[in-house]
Amino acid sequence: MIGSCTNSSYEDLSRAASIAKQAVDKGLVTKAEFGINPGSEQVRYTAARDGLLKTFEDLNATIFTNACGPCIGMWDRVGAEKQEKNTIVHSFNRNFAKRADGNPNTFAFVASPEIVAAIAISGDLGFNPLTDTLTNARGEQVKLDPPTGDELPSKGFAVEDAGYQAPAADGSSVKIDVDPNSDRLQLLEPFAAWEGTDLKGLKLLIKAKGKCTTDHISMAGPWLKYRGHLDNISNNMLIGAVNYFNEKTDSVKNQLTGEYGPVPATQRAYKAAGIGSIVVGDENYGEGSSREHAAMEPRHLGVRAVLVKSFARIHETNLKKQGMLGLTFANKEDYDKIQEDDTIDILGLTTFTPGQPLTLVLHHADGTEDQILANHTYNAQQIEWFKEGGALNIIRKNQAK
Amino acid sequence: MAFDIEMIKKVYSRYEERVNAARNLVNKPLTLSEKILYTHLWDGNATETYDRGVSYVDFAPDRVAMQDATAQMALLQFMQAGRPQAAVPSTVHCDHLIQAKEGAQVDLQRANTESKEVFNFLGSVANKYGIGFWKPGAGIIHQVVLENYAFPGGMMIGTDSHTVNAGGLGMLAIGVGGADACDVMAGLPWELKFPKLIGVKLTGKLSGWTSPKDVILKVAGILTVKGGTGAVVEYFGEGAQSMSCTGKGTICNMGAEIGATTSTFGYDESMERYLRATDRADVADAANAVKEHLTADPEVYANPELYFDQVIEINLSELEPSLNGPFTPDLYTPVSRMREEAAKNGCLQQ
Repeated sequence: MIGSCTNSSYEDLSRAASIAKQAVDKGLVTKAEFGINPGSEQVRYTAARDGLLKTFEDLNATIFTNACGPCIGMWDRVGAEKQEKNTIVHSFNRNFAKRADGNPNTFAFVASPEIVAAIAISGDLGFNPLTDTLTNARGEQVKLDPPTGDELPSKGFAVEDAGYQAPAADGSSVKIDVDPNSDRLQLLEPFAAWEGTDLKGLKLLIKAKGKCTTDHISMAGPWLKYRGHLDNISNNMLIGAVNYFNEKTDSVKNQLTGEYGPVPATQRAYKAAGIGSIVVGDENYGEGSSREHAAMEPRHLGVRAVLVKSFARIHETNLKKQGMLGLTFANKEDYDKIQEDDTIDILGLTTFTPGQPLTLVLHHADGTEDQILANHTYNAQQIEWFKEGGALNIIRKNQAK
Repeated sequence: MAFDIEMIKKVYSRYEERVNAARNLVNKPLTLSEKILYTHLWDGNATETYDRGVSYVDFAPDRVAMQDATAQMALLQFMQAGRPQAAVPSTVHCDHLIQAKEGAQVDLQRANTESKEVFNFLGSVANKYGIGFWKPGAGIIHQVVLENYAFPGGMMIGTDSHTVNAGGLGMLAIGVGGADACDVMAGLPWELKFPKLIGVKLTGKLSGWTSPKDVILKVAGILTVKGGTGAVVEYFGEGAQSMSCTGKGTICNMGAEIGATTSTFGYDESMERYLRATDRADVADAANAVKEHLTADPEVYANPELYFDQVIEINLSELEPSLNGPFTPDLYTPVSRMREEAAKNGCLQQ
């Protein structure tokens, strides 16, 4: 396969086409399936005008949409579900297991478009076009000449409809198109500002054990279709995190009923009862992608603070931007003091100051208490984010002035 | 004419002053990467130097690009900012929600049905807030950016890891999350840890079967999937100048696979040719007027080991075509050894 966001330029297509044309001229047929993803409509239109796409089609290549397609796994490959061992060669950039077609037994190799074309024609991964010959339909041994191509189209680029929509000069009257019944899109409501008091009576939602990446906090895969719908995607909140107390994922104790249930449902129960909660985590909490959903979901469902041994920096910043409290244990051993039925107070918020730790009171079920210190890295600006309920609330306020 | 040419001219008009301010502080010749970083400080002219790999610095990117998957939450959040327009020129590109199956026409039609509401939403938000919108089928974000928006010496962020592709036109283009895009569109500074710098000197010239892809496949083999973490990779040398602009884009694109923050090349004639061929003579003319600032100071490329944290040299005349894989992009095998290696995996026939 040739194309995707890399190696889909006019030069790439013209050099690969020079190989494809030789194959036709020399009586060779492609032994493997061959697909092309042009990078843009401008490149596609120009390549079609100059006969490059016709050359590929003469070798039975499929021309896909000018879009990511197989390179990001958006490939409904016939037979992939059978998980047969097979090899693909492409000029994309990534070749991790299952990336293109979901089949763990697909061996994927990355190469230049020229080499991809040569291998597609030979059907042999070991084919070295610099030295090896191929047998054509007439039984003759033929060798492919090195590729040739044009850096830029000699007749210039052309396009009929580039697919661009210019924005309105004055967009103030433009209506945003979201169906209130949509399950994929939901307009956001501003998060509430801080109530101005210490946070008391927070229930422990989960004490996560070990690795808790953004994938554990907001799982990808099938959930990605809800990435524009905060309430729906919040149903994946922390479902990948391991509960310290029972070593299970997506199973935490609801302190109101004493029963175990999924994390999102338990948190929704607290929210419905008007009770805040706290998430406790281990080292490097929130490592992985910069996915903002991992910070927005707990905020949306009413979690008030995330207390961990250490944060991955981007996630910590994302929490701050959403108006959440991201705190770290001043003494990491205090992680062990957190018990399953704890109710927790966070004190010191009325004098929330850069560099000054906050105090947490852990009310255990047996009536005993522990007091621990929590550090934070909020600067003066970020403390304002917390107080106003999120960075965007401040921008909106300033805009309104 | 190029999009946003006034913004580009404005960036160039302050280049000399800002480069000079930075050079005076750093007190030695500057790499291209440093020039772009120091000319895009949120606070204007540099007033202090930054430690590579240590300092967190606020930047002011020139533009934002978003793909249709990550744009959804970025724009939903941006709507909360209450601004009439995005603070910097921004674009949305519909390329991730189209499944390849039977071929362009059928596949595109199906995507337009299945994801209609998402495309309509993105199109309406873009229309309202002054954001350029590229419809499904218009192309892949990184190619459309290279063809229309990238410009030498610029800084942009994009909500996709392969945003780095625009380094082919001499930018620092960096992949970020939706929250960062939202911040920049809302008018907030963008924070980045000041990167380490890796220099790659390309000698010789590509010929025969060898192509720019083979350069980055080789670099990936040397640096591995983690070797570029926290670093900008800057390519230079006669081999860089003899390569096409889109070929440079290919090399920068796969810089994401070695974990690099981004990759870039100094402005040269290949970039000028590409700008003119893609109907942006105005950008080429503006860049030519400041071209000594759109590449590193000459001392840097003469003695790279004094200015980069790590230097790699690759002779393009000796480079062989290669295949990287399977399962990881840094497993490098030249075509001449592929038969032997593939036999071990038992994946010779397709």
